[in-house]
Amino acid sequence: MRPADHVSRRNFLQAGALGVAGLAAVRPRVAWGQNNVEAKRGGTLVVRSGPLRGIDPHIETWAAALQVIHQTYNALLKFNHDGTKILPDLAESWEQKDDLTYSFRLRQGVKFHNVPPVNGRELTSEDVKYSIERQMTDQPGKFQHAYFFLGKLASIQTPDKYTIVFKTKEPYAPFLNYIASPWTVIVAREVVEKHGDLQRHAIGTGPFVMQEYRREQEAVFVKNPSYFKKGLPYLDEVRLQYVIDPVAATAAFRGQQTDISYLEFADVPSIKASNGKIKVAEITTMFPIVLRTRPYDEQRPLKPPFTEKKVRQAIQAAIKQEEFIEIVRSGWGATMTGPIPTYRKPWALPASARPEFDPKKAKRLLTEAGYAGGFETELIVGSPGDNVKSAQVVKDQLAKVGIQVNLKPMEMAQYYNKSYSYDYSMSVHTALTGEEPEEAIRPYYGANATYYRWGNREIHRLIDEQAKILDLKKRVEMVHLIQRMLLDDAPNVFLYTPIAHYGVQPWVKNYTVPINAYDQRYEEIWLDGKKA
Amino acid sequence: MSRYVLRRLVLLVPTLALVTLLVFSIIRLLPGDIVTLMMSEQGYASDKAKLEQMLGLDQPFYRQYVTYVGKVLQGDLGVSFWTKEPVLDEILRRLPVSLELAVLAMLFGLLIAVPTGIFSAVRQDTWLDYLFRTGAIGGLSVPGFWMATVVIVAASIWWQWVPPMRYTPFARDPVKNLAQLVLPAIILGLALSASVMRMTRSMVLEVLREDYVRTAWAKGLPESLVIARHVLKNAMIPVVTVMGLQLSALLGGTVIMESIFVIPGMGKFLLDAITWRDYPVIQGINLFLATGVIALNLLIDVIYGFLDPRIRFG
Amino acid sequence: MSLFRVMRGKPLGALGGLLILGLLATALLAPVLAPYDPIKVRSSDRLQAPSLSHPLGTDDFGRDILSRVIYGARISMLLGLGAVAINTLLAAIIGILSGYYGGRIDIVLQRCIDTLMAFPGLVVLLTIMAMLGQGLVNVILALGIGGTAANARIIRSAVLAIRENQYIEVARATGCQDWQIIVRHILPNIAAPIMVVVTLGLGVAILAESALSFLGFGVPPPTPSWGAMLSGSGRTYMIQAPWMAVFPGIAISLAVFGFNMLGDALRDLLDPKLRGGPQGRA
Repeated sequence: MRPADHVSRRNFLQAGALGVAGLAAVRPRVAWGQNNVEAKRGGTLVVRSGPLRGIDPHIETWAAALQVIHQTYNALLKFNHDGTKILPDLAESWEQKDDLTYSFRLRQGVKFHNVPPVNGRELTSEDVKYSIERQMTDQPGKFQHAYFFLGKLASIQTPDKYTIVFKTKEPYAPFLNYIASPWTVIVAREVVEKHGDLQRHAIGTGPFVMQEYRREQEAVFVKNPSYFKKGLPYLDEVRLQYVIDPVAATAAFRGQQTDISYLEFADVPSIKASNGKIKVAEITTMFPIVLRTRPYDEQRPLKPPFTEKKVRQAIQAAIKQEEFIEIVRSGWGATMTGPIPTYRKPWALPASARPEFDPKKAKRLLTEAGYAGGFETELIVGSPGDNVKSAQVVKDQLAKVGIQVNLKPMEMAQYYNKSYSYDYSMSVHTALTGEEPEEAIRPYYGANATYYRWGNREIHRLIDEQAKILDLKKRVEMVHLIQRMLLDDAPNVFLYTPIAHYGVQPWVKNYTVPINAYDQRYEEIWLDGKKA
Repeated sequence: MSRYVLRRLVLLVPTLALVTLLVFSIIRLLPGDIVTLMMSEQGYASDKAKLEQMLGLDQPFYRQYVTYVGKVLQGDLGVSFWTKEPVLDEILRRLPVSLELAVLAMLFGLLIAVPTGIFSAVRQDTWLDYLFRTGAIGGLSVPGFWMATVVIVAASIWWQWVPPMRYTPFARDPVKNLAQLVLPAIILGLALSASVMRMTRSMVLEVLREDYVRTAWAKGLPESLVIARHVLKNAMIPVVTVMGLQLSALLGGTVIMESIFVIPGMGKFLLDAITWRDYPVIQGINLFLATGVIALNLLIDVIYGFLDPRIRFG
Repeated sequence: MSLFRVMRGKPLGALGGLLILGLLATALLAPVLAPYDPIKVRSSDRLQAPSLSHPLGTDDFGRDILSRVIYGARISMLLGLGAVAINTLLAAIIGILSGYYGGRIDIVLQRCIDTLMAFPGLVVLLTIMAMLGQGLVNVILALGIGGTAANARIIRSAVLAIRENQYIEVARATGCQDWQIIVRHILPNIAAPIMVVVTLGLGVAILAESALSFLGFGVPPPTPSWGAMLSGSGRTYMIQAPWMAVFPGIAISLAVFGFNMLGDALRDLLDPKLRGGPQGRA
């Protein structure tokens, strides 16, 4: 295992809150792979890939894009495999000078891949500045991670080639979490200028160089000989294989054609039975399934019956989370107490906060709101997928309180189109969250939210406020308050968080599936005993 | 003969024109406007109007169509909206894959259908005949994706074997190539063989009743020789025609097999293009396929004309 | 020729006919036959193996599979009949117009037919479904439109074959109007090929729907269509609960089998001219 000193995020924030200036700069000592005698070099790692639209880290949000991105790019910082610590990547050391200032010292001698147009030139602080600024591009609906830093930074300074200093306008608690986000990787200006965007090209400083890319088919990466982490990677090649059919994909894993693969829960028992040495990781994902009602903001007023808060609360009371987990996932799911998944302590609300399943209360609320006879409405959902099943359960549960839901499944592309036009009555959606708690809240319910729109001004204000609180305890309190207000307002009902299974063949060494399965870095993996 | 061919060639033109017009208009009726779809995806056009201009969608319909036809005649099928690669290149890259699968499927189809058809006819109305005919229809009644699923899962559990999920061209590694394609080819061939088998059977039955065959029998020729010399040649004519017709169905019908077995052919390519509203690709593939099928039909008619002089002046 | 003798002469066709009768009966009597509600979710009864209370087992929503298969017969018949009705109507109109009037109308219509025939069937279906969106009615429309071209050809050649008959000429000579001739003489004589087309088309529609379901374009849930049962959860739970897919699969196979056998027998019996050879080349 790699030795590395680091300061946990918590201590960091607390230290900052206590106003301890000049906190000893964090300077982890690292030895990469050159001293690792255990590791065997060479071989090709084959990983099952998923549906993919594009691979631009600043535009995309689908997980399969990260599989590509994490081979070819690095970030300043990254999370460890269970999301509890921040580790260095491109940054050699960092320190928070005061409430508003963060300074990073870059490693020297980091080279971009030796392919045109960068041709192996060195990475400097200018590249970091360019990347962060690009990520912040204000084109809502396109640059999906702009909300990380847009409007929050006062300046980005590059006093020298290896130093970069960020100054925020106000105290900004999520800052480091966003810097360490899997999406905040550092890209090269020349590539963007040459192709207009990075949707089809991935050239960075990462451990592997992209050799071939066929979207939704396969992507091949070869070892980067000039990777700055000496001795890494151990692998010669990484191949991402896209198999659209889940049955075929599981069969491929069973047939040892893939080394790491997402597995359908129904297949896990037979996979474990076929070879006891296969490791199957159970990961509580950070992609909650959400039942949405009509979005609203100034341009899009609410339409009945969703204008009545009681109607929304009634829907919430009619939903039984356990039934979704049982039916759709055969038990492989976790209940939710709010928009933040329950395993994210201390940010998630306690179990006592969970809305109660009470169909009688639902009927009563409906009557009070003037809908004693129920009503009829339409629900859109992307097909195919688990969400179509969840939609059926929704229909069934709501029918019991008199609400008739007409299901309207649509192809994914069309579904996302409709979603982002914010013009629908109800939908079942897969939401995104992240290590940073406000990722589950601000892009959905904040003032400039893009994934969803909810016009409650008080909630907007509180969301803006919580980001400025550096004191952990106080911030947690406010985030809890926001979540309780959301549960009361009930624009969305949180159905469940799926638990996913990842199979890892016995010859894949030194790999722990990250707790959120989001991080797709394979640079420290080696293979031992794989048949050619 | 050449007059016949010429006439068919001339009729080709309006058909093709209709084809392109049809394709061109229909996909623009697809909901989920591509501009909106792309707006959220790419980073180089700053607003809708600019994107429309870049994609050439701001022109009135007829002008778009005329520009398109002009380019087609020069061999330029446009560039994919999503990958920015020339459509023709992408098609040509996938065409050999689909063709190989289709040819293999037809081979298996023939291998199954012809012998069983002949047997069935020769032993008409015996239990063997009923068995084969039932089997043929059976092969046709089970959905292909279902057969594929059962086979893949069974093979992976019992024999720990799975067809390779990665395409290798035949030239580079024939074994791996066939290992991937043989299963889907058999499954496709089975569905195909049903109709071919019945056709073979009825043709053979007809020919068997012909006088010259009866004469050959009476002369004491062994059955197999009779069949080989007289029956096969005449029975094959309509079979060839049907196979040709099936080719178009095959090329489109491979979508499902390509999805399951991860074969980078034209079927899956088209499905993806429809899903993502990639107009140039949808147009290009349809045009390509339609032209191919029409040309193939012409070829078959010509061959048919050669084989059976009665049909020549059709 | 008594029906019994016909059936004895063509046992496979008779078997097919019986299967289809069974299918029709099931479809019509579904509410009476099905022991449970096919749509109601019952989470306590999930994934049960076939037993006395659930002869075909239950699915992942706790729904009784026997009931779903029975109601699925209804959906299949609806789909099949709807699609074939549209199909045959369009094909008949085009085929009759083309075959009877000939000349320029024929050439133009033939070009159109050739155009449509050039596109692989599944492609046409997918495009139409993408245009219309999901839904039972849309699937019926798509299946109906998709198969028109081929059948139009068949009908056209049948009409051509009859047109040359002498009594048609006589009818024309004696001043009968075109539409009268069509209705009185042409239609009855092409009833045979139409019947064959209809029967085979029903089988094709059912199979096509399952293919569409697999690709995600089929009948939307919770409607119990055999194709959706086979291609959706049926495949996911194949190892754990094979009965979820086996029974709808058997149902599809039996239905398609029946239609094909019946259609074959009809074809053999009614019009030997249709048995072989290429169909309607220009």
